Amino acid sequence: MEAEQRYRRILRIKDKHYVALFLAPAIAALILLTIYPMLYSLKISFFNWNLTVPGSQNQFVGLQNYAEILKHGEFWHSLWITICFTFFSVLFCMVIGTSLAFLMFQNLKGASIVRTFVISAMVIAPIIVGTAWRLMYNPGWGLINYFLSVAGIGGRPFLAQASTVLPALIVVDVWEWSPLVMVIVLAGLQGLSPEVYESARVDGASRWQTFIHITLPLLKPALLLSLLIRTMDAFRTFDTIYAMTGGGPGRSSENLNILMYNTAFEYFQVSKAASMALLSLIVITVICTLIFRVFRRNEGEAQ
Amino acid sequence: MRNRKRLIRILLYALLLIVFCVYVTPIWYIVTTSFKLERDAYAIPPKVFFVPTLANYFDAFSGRGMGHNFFNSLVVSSVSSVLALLLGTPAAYALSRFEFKKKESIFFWFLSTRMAPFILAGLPVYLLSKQIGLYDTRTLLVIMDMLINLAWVVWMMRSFFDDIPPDIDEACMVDGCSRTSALFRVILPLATPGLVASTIFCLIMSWNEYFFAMILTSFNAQTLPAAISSFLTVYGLLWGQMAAAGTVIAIPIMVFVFFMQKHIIRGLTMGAVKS
Repeated sequence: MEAEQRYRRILRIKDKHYVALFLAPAIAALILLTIYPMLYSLKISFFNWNLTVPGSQNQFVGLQNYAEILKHGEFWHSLWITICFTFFSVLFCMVIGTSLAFLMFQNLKGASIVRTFVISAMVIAPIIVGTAWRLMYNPGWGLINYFLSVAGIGGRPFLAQASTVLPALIVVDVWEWSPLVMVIVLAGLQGLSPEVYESARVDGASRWQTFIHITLPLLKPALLLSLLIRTMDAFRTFDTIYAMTGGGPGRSSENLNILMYNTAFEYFQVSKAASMALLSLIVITVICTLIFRVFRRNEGEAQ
Repeated sequence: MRNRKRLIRILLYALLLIVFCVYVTPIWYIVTTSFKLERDAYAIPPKVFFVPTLANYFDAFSGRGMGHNFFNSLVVSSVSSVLALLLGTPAAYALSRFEFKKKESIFFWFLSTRMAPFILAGLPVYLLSKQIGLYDTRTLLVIMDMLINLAWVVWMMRSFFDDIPPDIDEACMVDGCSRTSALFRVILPLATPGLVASTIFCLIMSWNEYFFAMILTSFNAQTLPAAISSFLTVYGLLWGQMAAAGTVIAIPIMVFVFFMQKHIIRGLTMGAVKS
């Protein structure tokens, strides 16, 4: 026994070399592809680099880019759109995804086929999802307006009106990503032991009580994980919005990612785009930390 | 009571049918549009029965050279997936087995690549690649896709390794093999489901990847999703060809889902059920 412990200790010392050996390549890649670009972004954000103006990359302007961004409305407008989009999309994804998980959990015949199609929504390229829905939303011959006219409701160009474009985009995002929540929550449900329910039933708890007081708390890790992943991804949605509206009409669906893309690749103001990217990284980090804190605190109270 | 149960059952089946329709319709719509002639595609009410044509595929592939994009997509997604697995698996093993300082921060660092806005890495890489001549090369896209996948591989493989008791490695090492051979000879075969799940994920992610493909390529290295954007802007009205391209991108993934569903679900949920 003692010999074995001694042997394990020797192993542990040897392991130190392996930590470096195993981690080094991945960390090197990570530094090269995250830290370095981030520092580069930080550097160019202090200059006034415009790709169409030669020599402008050497024009040092200090914090002027940040000051301008925070002063002008477009960043705040896009931030607001991003936050609205993220909030409603994540909210509906969580509700619908969880409901889908419970539906799939009911042992219905044919549920596995339906599940396959539901899952395919999130693995098909987002750019294709956007394209398909743009076809569906087409005011002239799209399927959605056809169904609406059959139902006797006047159709409208959903993607071309400032008042309807954001809800229309949220619908697509919810369609695409509720399956992710469903998959994660379903796995959580399947991991619960049936004994818990039986003892609850013996104690005379109603279905609703069981759901609120037993199922939901037990599903918390699964719900937290899907909430975090969804928030991060919804915040940086690009492909579907780019495919459907490109940020239009006007600026009414221009979220932060589209704004940054346009700033860098349509207006060639790379310094400004870099400053925006850094600011938006700060915002999403704060949001995710807050979500994490709130959940952790609740967990502490529960225990 | 029995009647009520029956009613609930019927309602659940109705709900299931609605979910099915909601999820099949967009997919069915883009696939059928790709096989329709223009006059059929724009018909109101939508034609369910029509004479299928391959004209859109012919135009997209031989007319606009999408075969070239298809080849790029194949190369970029397979090579970047292999690289991500090669770099990510040992890292995940180290994070699962060894105790060292800042372990969780390093793990979080990998995950944080999911949080950063695309342009934060995309813009500097675009500017630098133009300077050093890597712009519009498959090499550059492979590297970027590998980075995107690395976080997934590390996250997934770590949870798979965590499921294998460390006693197995130690027993193997007491028998005289090194860490490396313990990993490759004993642990990796045990973690095969994890490797399969991670591989599938990497392939899907890089096959679908759009943003980097769009800003970092113009022609030579352009992948299928990036080629879609040329229909979106200049040829905004070529719906049939666009649908054909979309179908070509979506079908391999759909086939994957049909046959590999279990692995995909397992990969996605490894971390969820425990942590």
